[in-house]
Amino acid sequence: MKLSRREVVCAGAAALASPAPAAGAPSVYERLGIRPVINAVGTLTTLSGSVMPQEVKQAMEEASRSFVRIHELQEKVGRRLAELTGAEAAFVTAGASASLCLATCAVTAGKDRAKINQLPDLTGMKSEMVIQKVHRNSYDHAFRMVGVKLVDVETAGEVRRAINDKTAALAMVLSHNSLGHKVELEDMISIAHAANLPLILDAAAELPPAENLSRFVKMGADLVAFSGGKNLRGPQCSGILMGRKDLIDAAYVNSSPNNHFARIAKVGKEEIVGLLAAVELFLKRDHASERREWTSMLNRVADRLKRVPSVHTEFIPNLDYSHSPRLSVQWDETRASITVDEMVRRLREGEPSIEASDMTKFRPSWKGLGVFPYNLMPGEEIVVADRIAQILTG
Amino acid sequence: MRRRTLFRGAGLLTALPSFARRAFGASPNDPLAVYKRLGLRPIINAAGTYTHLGGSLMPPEVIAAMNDAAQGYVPIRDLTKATGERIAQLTGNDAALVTTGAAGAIFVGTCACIAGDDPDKAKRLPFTDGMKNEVIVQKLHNTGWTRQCEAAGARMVEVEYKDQMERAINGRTAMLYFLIADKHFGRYRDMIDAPGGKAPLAECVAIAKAARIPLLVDAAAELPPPENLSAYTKQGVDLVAFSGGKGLRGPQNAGLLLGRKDLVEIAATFQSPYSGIGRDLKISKEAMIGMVAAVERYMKVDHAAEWKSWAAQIDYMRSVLDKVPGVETGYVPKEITNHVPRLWVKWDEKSFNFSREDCFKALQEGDPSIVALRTPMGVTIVPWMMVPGQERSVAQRLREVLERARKTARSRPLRTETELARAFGMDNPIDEWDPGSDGVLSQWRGAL
Repeated sequence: MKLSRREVVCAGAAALASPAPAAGAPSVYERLGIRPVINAVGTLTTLSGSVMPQEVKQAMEEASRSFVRIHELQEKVGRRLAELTGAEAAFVTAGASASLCLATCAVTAGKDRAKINQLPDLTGMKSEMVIQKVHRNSYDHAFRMVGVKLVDVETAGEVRRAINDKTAALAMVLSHNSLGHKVELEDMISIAHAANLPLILDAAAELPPAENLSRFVKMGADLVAFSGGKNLRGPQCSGILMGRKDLIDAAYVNSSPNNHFARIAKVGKEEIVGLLAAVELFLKRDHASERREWTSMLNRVADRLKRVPSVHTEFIPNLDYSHSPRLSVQWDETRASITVDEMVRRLREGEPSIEASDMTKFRPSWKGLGVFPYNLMPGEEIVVADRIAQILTG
Repeated sequence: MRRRTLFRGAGLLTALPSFARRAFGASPNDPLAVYKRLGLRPIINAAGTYTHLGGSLMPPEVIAAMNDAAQGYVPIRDLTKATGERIAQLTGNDAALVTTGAAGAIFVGTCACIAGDDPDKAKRLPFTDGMKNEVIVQKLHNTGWTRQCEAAGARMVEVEYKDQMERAINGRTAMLYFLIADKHFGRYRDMIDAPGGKAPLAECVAIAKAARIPLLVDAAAELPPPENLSAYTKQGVDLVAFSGGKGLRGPQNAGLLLGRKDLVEIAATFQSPYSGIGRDLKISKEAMIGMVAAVERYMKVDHAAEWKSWAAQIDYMRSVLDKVPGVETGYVPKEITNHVPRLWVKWDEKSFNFSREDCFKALQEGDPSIVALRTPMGVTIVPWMMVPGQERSVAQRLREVLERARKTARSRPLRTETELARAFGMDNPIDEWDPGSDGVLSQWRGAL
């Protein structure tokens, strides 16, 4: 019997607790010859973000049943997002990266149609953004694609001195990829505001804690970008841009469905509605108990690995704003004659395929194999622990 | 019941798919609650596959596939490759890539033609000094959609005639861009002095081949017919961009880039999950799987039956509207429709004291809210994106609106023809324009 769509969605609730779709039938992935993975890494885009909760999927499915004016939808959803977060204004984008691109459009071309049509040629517009050197990463192309030049600085004094007539905004990045800045967010904000400039914040993966959804705008950040498909568990290709009303309005003029430069980052009605559902859910979630559950998952991993000779496990603290517990699994690599790198590969190649991370890739001083629980479905931690044990004991 | 069998059904009501029935409130839970909670009025889309109206509605097969995809994790690079191979096979192309829409496809295609597989060049985009960065386009094809080429750092070089195109090619030429607009301009192109667009596709292919410059065709809205998925590449076009959220009825924010394997593979690195200039173009696992399901369905659908079902909707509406004195209806000529049947409805605006703009507004503001098109041919109704059954609401509303306008013509402040015409604002006039009207083309260029 063929399931109706509503039934499919209801079945999805059960499916959230188990990685495989309906037993027996090959999944849409398997039909294409792709092996789904147990994701012990996290909300990486390359591993398809996060898995949406039932409520989000249902909202998206409802949204898919009717046409609606996208401008009106964005306005209403934006207003609701603003209410929920305390931001002046907001709208749904195609991801944190799209948010940053649109923020940059807002501070350069603004709402001026002629200027918008000229992007990424910034002749006659403000064309520089000041950013701390450690915040330069592969994602800063989201700013640069608009045509701006990023001016790298290190200290607060350098930030102030770098500001000139061509400066469109100050940019700040909060990410585990970009640690070690010398000028804190509050200081960047006050320098920006003293110079009458907006500050754009890349906070793509800075959730949880849920407070961050309102914290950065409250601190005075003018435009803040969050990813929707990471810890918010919204649609993978969605994001939020929130902040000052005039700037948000200008950013939206540049955005799809308007036919400008940034139409390449297209966001659908389903994603707009799904993202809102995800934020509503996220603000209701019991984050403390989720965190306790993740900790117990990792404790179960540690517990099962205790019996394996030479294995040592430890929790690795987070150094940035966001946090979820992380476990590092270490062993005597010569005695077990397997390196972390080989372990990562063998977990990937095994059945089921497991993605875990080499901790040194995050930070050279960190050791071992990282097991992160955020995207593990209940019970998968046991599968992961047993596979690690099996590989170590031959 | 499957959609395909549904469309073969003779009666429209039996042809009502399950998702349509829900849309009419047959379900105990209001399926539109998600919009109503936000204070939004969902619309009857009598206009077509417009992005600002929500694209198209995905059929159950597509949603079911997306639901399956949402249940687990998968390496996105593997998924990109596997979905690309499957779609290439289904559509009869060398290679395929699911993109973030036709705009996304044009962007990644242009990036590939400019930067190639050189990582240093890729990092510098959209700054393209020292790279091949010129994209040649015929003036008539240089619409708002070439902004996606410019976003990649391209400089558009406008030409009008074939010989100009040949001369414009030089060492900095990265790509030729061609907008398929035959259905909008094709038959009438030679009837008016169109400012550009003089070289047909076959000639452009020959020029591109001779100069070894890749040719990208923007075929965003060129479905149906499904044969178009391979028609352009078979003619020798290197890259073709299609929208996924229009005729294909895939995810609204998805599209396809089809064509040459080497270029498509490079183009894939200019969108998410790769970081760099294309990180903005984020494509979800659900959207990729949804596109495969949409293409699979599209290749199986009985398109002739779909056409008949739309025509039946039009015939029904005509039967209602033709009864209103002073109202005329007809089919928009096939040559200038966007591959689907359309109905025009017109009346003497002066004696009704009622313009197309007034009618458009009345439909929009009524309940249910209906979005139609204002065109030089009158108010145009496109059943393509209307769920079977909605033709009844549309016909009834139009009849009410026009009958009232006729009856109240004298009781409202009288307007001159000029005043009535002044209020006329055309919707995306690219879709339909009056070949006999001189002003249309300039109006169109201004509107973009």
